[in-house]
Amino acid sequence: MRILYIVHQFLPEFSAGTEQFTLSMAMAAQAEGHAVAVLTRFIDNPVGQYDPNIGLYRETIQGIPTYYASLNGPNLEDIGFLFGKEIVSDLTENFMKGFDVVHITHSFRNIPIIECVIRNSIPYIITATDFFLACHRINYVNASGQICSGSSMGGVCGAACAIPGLHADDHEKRFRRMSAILGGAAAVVACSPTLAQALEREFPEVPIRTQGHGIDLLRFPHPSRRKKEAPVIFGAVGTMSEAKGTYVLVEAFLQADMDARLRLYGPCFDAELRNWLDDKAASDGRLEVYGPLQSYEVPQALLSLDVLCIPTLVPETYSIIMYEGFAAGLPALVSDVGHPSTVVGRLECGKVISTGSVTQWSQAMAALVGEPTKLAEMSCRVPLPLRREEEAFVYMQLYRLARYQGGKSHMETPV
Amino acid sequence: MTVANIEAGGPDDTAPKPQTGAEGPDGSLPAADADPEARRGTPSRPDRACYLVLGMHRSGTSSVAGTLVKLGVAAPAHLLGAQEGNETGHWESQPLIWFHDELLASAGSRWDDWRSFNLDWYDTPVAAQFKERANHLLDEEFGDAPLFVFKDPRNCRLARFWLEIFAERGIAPKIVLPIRSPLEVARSHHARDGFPLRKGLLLWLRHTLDAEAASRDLPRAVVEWDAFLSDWPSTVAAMESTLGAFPANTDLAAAEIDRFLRNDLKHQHVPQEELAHSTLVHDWVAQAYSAMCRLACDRGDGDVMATLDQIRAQFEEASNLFGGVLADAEVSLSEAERRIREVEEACGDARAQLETAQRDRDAQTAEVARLTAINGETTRAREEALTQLVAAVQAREFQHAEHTTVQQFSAWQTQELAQLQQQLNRVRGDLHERNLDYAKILKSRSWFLTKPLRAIMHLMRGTVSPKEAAFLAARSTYRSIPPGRLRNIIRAAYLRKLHRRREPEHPNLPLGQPATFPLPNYITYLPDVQPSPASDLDVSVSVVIPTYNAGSELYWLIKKLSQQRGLRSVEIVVVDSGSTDDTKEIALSLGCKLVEIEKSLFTHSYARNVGADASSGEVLLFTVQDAYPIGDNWLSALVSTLLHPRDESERLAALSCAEFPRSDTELLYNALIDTHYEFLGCSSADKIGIYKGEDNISLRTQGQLSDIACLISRETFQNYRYHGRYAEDLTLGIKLIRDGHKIAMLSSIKAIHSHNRPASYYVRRVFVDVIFLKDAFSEFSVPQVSSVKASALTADLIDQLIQTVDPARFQSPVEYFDAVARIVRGAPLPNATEVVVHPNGFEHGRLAAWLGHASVIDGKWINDPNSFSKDATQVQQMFLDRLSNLRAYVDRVYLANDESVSLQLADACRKTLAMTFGAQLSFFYLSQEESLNPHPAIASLRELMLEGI
Repeated sequence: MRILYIVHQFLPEFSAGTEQFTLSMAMAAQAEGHAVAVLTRFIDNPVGQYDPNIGLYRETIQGIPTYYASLNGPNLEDIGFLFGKEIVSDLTENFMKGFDVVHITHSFRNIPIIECVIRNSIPYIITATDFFLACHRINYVNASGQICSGSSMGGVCGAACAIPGLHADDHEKRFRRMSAILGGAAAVVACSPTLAQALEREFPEVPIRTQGHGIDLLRFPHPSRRKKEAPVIFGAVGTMSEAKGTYVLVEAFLQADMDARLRLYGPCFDAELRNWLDDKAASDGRLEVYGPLQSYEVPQALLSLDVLCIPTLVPETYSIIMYEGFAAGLPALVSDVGHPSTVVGRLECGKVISTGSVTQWSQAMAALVGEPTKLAEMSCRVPLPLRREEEAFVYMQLYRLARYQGGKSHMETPV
Repeated sequence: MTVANIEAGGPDDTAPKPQTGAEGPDGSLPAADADPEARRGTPSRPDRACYLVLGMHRSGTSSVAGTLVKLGVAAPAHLLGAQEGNETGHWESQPLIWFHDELLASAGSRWDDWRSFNLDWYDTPVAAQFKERANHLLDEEFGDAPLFVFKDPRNCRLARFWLEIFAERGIAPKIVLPIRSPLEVARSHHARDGFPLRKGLLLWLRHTLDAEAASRDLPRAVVEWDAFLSDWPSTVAAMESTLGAFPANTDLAAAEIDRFLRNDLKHQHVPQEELAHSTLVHDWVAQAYSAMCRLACDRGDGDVMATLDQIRAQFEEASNLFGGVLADAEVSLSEAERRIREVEEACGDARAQLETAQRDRDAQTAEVARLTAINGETTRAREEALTQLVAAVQAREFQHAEHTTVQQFSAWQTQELAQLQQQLNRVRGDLHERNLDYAKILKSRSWFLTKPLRAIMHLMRGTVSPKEAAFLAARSTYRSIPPGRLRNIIRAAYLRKLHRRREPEHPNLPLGQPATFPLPNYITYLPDVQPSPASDLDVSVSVVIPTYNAGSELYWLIKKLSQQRGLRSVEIVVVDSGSTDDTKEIALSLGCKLVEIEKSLFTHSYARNVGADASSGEVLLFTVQDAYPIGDNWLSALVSTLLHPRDESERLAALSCAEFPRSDTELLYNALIDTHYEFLGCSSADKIGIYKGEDNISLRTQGQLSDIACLISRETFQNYRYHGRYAEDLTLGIKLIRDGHKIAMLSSIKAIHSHNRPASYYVRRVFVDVIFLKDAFSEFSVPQVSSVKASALTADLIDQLIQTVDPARFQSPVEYFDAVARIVRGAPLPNATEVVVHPNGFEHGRLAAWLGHASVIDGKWINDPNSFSKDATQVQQMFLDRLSNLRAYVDRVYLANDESVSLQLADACRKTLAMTFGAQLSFFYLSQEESLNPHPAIASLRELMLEGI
């Protein structure tokens, strides 16, 4: 098969979860003997060499040929509101016709391109890694900061999350547009049950599959038992920010009078937070703040911890780091929003804590330090995470499904 | 006292400096009165020591070395086995013997050369290369053993070479000099090697004088072999007093040594008086022996050393004067003897041919008698017909026609008889030539060209399908085309077609009709791709996993297997063959049943059969330690496919999964798996295998099961079990389909598995695969290869050429392969005069040593003057063919190049060469194995190639 991956942004400019997922799927398909390519956008500067034959810039990323279109559309187009304007060149359209299957790993910035795929009857599947398809704000949190309780086919969005210059029916048109795109896909996949439930509520006529992301399990040695007499080491791995709950976690830890450590790994783009962390670390030796990690350093960092903390204030549709923590044998303390809370609550491999509550976080950490047996019990319930290759195999089967099903050019495209 | 302990500053307190530049102007070894301090070097306390046994061949060196081993001194890793004339073993390293032979050859000498070793050799560049290899071999044979024994009679003449290396590595030498009556030694050589007695005596003198001189200032013990055999404890005690205590001089060891030193070890007995009075024994030999005996009895004195020095000086002079002439004469004699042997062999062959011809003639005579009898009957029939013709002359018109027919038939029979008579005469006349022609016919193009006809014949008989017959016919036609442009064009066209038809999906389903699993080409699916209502199977499954140092991957595998859903129970049986990591602890801590077997007993079949016997499940799954299931319903989906097929046409006796590559897989492995699955027909479909015929293509495509995951009911398995040292999965599959069962290779459900192996593995893997195919399928033909040297030189040349092409220079990956192919195709191939200086074993040390040895004796196998160039061309063409396959895969899959791809391309290219070389070595092995008296090196090749596969 010839498989085209479409994603809103990609390496070398960006390397977050969705980009890594896209790269990982493309590499797995290539290893299985398929010709693959990635079609994406460059954001700041052109990447690679311009190829006049297809009207795109071209670069090779870890063996995967990657094509970059310029980001010349307005923001409204990015989030699916610019109707009826053709922005995909004939050259690019011809280029896409050369593929048997398209996998859209993120729809942001790509709605016109997806419609071009549909127009050319190319079979495709869509993966949702966040709420973008149902929510132009992407996070499913309304303008008032409340978690959305449903858009009512776009009817609620115009009132609760209005965009200057757009009418209420523009939100309904966007919703119909997304609905048509999802309906034309051979498969729609959500990365977690939490996300799948939200999408099913918004698009009840579209069957949604759930497929979690896999991790590179081969990087992890099998976990060993922690030494009982050593102080408990809590840790968080990932971007440090207010939204990720960094303030809450650090304050909660420092409040508790206990023989324990808190280690923070990851980048911090907020200067104020960075200074605050430096001050706290200087005044209390129990707090250790480290910088960003290379991906190969993550297993070792996790293996140095006893408990992983995910104190996010916003709902997470997935958490790769939680599963990597499971591979390292770590139970998790998580906020009661999003996918991590569902998993930890169901399996009791950690504790679910009220989002943003410094007091409850502090109590939960102190309880674990005071009751080592509790920690051991939680560790025993840590599940075996999914491997990256398992996820890739499922997608390969879905590509074949899409090939059999063929494109749906008969489908009426909106607008 | 039977041992002389000549101390040089104590047993362990000196690192002796080997002789470098201290030789006399004529190249002789230093005189005994040379300044010993100058030769002793800087004192040190090395951590390692080597018992260097310096003794003439047939002087009891093996029994002495063997005794040291039983006293706790480490032996080499790869021992030359016991042989006639040395029944208790040589205690010598086989690779080091090969190495010594190569070294001696490079210096214009050999093991039975009584002249002095050419000291100029030490200053040549080749000497440095040999030194590097010697260090490598030392590591391979002795590892980091603190105390080891190194014995090879060739060391007497090569002592300087090794002592230099020991000094550089801080290894303290402890010299042991076994001495035996020169006449006994000469007689032993005469009996074993057919040497004239005088030559044996000269060899004794050379080895003894060289060994003594080289070790004079080192800690050493001179051991008189007769005395050693009669009272070894005294000898050992004396050795310990000078060379230091042995690590395991225990009662147990003593009992073993008593058994080991049987009296019948010695086959030649010469009384001292006979030695003294024999006219064969020159004074130098007698005096040298006497001097060495004195050294064995006491520490010796200046007189003894002076005697030995004087003999050595005279002997060197005589060697220099007569050695060359005698050596030339020896070569001539040897050549003449070789030719006599050839003539004798040719006579033997001719006799055999004659006997065959006589047998054929007898058979033809019998055939003539049979035909004559038939003729008699025919004649009688003709007479009867004639009679009837006369009687029916007035009969109806159709009777007349019948008469005419009978007449014609009769005439034909008469003519036929005459022709048969002529044919018989021709057969008799041609009988002798036919045997010679037969071999030519088998190799001729017409034989290849008629292969399509034979394929059609198979088709008509129904032993192959029309598609397979067409394929076989096309393939044989292709193979009949000589290497060149036409062949390359056909090959490229075939590969294009092959790769175009990948993923031969069915036409799309009608619009609006959703596709569901299982997809049209599949018989099953993994519930993870289409969740279905859960229904537990009331089945117990045992998973059998052979392990060896499995590490963390086994932990993850067992965890994954333990959480499989939808079955009554899952039992995991780990069959470990001597792991030294925490494999066994992991297995036990995760609740597995652990079965331990000795590493030496491991074969893929044995380990799996033992695991099956120890298990209790109704259904067995055989898998491997580095495989991994996909999803938590993987096992139940496989079991359901086996036990609950959609309909009876899909009822299977066993099934296997295809592989899904790991994230750390390599390009070449992916390409090989891709080609293999295309061959099997499971690239994009579930392949059900049924018996279609006995040709190897049918059996291999239909009978394939895979060790990666093989599911079978206990009852069926116990009726068949695994057999063979390798390819046991295919063997099981073939047996099943031959008995009318169906089996399957699933593509709809896969297991995560792939490899990233070194080039040395691919050399051996392909060797083993070819050997298996030849063993298993009688019609599987391989080309004749007779020159290891041509093969090794060509592979090494291509290896060097590959490394001159940088894949990063090319925008498109296929351009890299085109560049490599161009440079390899255009390079002049090696010729027979070239020497294998640095054998290329693709990082496999023992293979390199074997190649060095085999290249030196290459002439033993070559019986055709064109063999060298033919074999070299074959390596080149095979590599280009394989590269062409790889190129086709890369052309389909890799659309762009970057640093990561470049690294993989270069790696895959070199491993492709390694595979080519492995195939060539297997052809060589199979060619030589068929000969009446294969050289021992042939068996060594098989053993070293099979190890670890």
